[in-house]
Amino acid sequence: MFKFTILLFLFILLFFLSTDTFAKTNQFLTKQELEQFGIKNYEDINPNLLTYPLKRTYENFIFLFKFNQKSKQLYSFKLFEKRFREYIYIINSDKKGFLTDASVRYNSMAGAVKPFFLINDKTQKAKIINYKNLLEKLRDRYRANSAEWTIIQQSIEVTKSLI
Amino acid sequence: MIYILILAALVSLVIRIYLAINSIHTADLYLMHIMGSKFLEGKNPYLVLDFNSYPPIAIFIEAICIKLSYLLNLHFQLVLKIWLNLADFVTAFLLFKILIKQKVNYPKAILWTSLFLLNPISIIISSAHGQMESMTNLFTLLSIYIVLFRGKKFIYLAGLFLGIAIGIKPNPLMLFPIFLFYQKYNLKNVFIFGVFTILPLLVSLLPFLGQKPLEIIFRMLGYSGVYDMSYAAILRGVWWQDNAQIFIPYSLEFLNTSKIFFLSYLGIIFLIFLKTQKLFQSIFLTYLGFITFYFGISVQYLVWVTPFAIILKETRVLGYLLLGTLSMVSFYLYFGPEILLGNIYKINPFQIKYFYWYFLFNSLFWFYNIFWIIKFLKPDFKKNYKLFNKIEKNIFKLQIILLICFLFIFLFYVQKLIFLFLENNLI
Repeated sequence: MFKFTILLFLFILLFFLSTDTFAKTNQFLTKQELEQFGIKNYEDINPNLLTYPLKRTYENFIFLFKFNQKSKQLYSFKLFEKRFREYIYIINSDKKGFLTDASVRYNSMAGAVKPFFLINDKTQKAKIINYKNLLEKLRDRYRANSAEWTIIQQSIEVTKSLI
Repeated sequence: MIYILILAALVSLVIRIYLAINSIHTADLYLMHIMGSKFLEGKNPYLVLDFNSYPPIAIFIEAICIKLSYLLNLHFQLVLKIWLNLADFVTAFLLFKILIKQKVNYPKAILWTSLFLLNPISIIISSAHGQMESMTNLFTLLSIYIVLFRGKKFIYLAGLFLGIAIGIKPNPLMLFPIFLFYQKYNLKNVFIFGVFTILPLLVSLLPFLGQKPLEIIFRMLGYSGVYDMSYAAILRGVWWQDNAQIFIPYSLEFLNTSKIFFLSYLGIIFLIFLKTQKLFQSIFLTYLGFITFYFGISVQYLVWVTPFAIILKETRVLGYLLLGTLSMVSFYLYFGPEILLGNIYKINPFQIKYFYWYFLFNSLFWFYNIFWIIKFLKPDFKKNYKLFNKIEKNIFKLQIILLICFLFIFLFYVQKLIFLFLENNLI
């Protein structure tokens, strides 16, 4: 009985420890279309998963060990890109239940990187323009002025403010 | 030592008053008020309301509380909670008496009673949520007290108290076979017990049975619980990842399978009880098994286990209380923060950050309960099994086979749920 309980527990645990990334088959944009905007892959763990808090905790833990300003900025920008990929996953998969939170996280991270964003860096600027264009494309999938449209529009404004 | 008990009672009272005063008229309290109001208007709540009503004694209590609220110029929920919390304190007193009668030494009895008074699960359910489980527990315990410690001439009173408990909430009905087959009493006493148990429910139901009696009985006993806690929360968590949806597919299949699974488990407990005649152990295992194996666990059901675990001096009740409280609090914070917090603090429901805690603590809670059942049953299991004759052993084996069969049916639906989730989320 005890062994059976352990096996059942392991079964449930294995499911949640899986790092497979799943995306909806009927997504708004295909993988090829996303690649045009520079999104090659989604994140392994996205905001809809129950393991997401572990990912965030790990990121915050790593941030504690960034001692100088430069490494903090680099890591922040990396997190900003992660938040963007997560956000795109949520919108592209039409997971409306997680849209608000993903948007808030993305907007917050954009605000965090803004002070040290290198507007003269052509690579960075091109990346942000791509982000803006991708968000606009995904926004237009929703009815104008609907809740989802408004949330994504806010993120577009935040992204524009970086450049 | 008595000062510890007095202090525990005072602290408990202060916390209960604080929560009760700051509670608001919402959720189950609101529905109970409607039930009582309909009765006072001369209508049959079982027929006019579109939700399942409680058994009739609960409706009478609700109606009396509405009347008292007008008389005393107090809110309905406050009047109701006075009785619920009073029931908790009387239960504590009864627990103390039972522990002393079981030859538990005085200081330990005081500590165990203090634990009951301060246990957060009872405090939250009686003072914040406002559910009537404390009253059901009290009358069930009174019934047991009479069965164990009073003479056979009071057997009718034991039946009456159990009947009142069932008339408030139907959960003690699952204990009825255990009481009935407690062989301390002869057939005549068993008959008297049975009749007096059914009497309060029958008498209190009579005013409502005028038209459509079968429908009324179904509305009263047909409530299957909401799948808020225990492993249902785990399944909910799996499905929630799809699009933050809280209503899971196949919930009816899960519910029906769990009913049979629990009945098979109950059969095993009952067989063991017939041999050992250990009343408290059997009741404790029945209630804990219900919370662990049944699908439709509402948050207030967690209260049932505590008094019996304390009477059995089960130290593992501390883990149950800790994880149960955390599960309950996270449930309230996600689904209905106003139930727990009332006017104390306003937060919006369905905030994603609280769902993670709801899932985590319910997972831990469920696994802990399984561990507890195994640990409780295992030491005497072989000894009890040897007491069975051949027929009983065969019935026991049949129950185990039934248990395993329905476990596989249940896992089949779990697998269907997981694959439905993957289908919606596959590359």
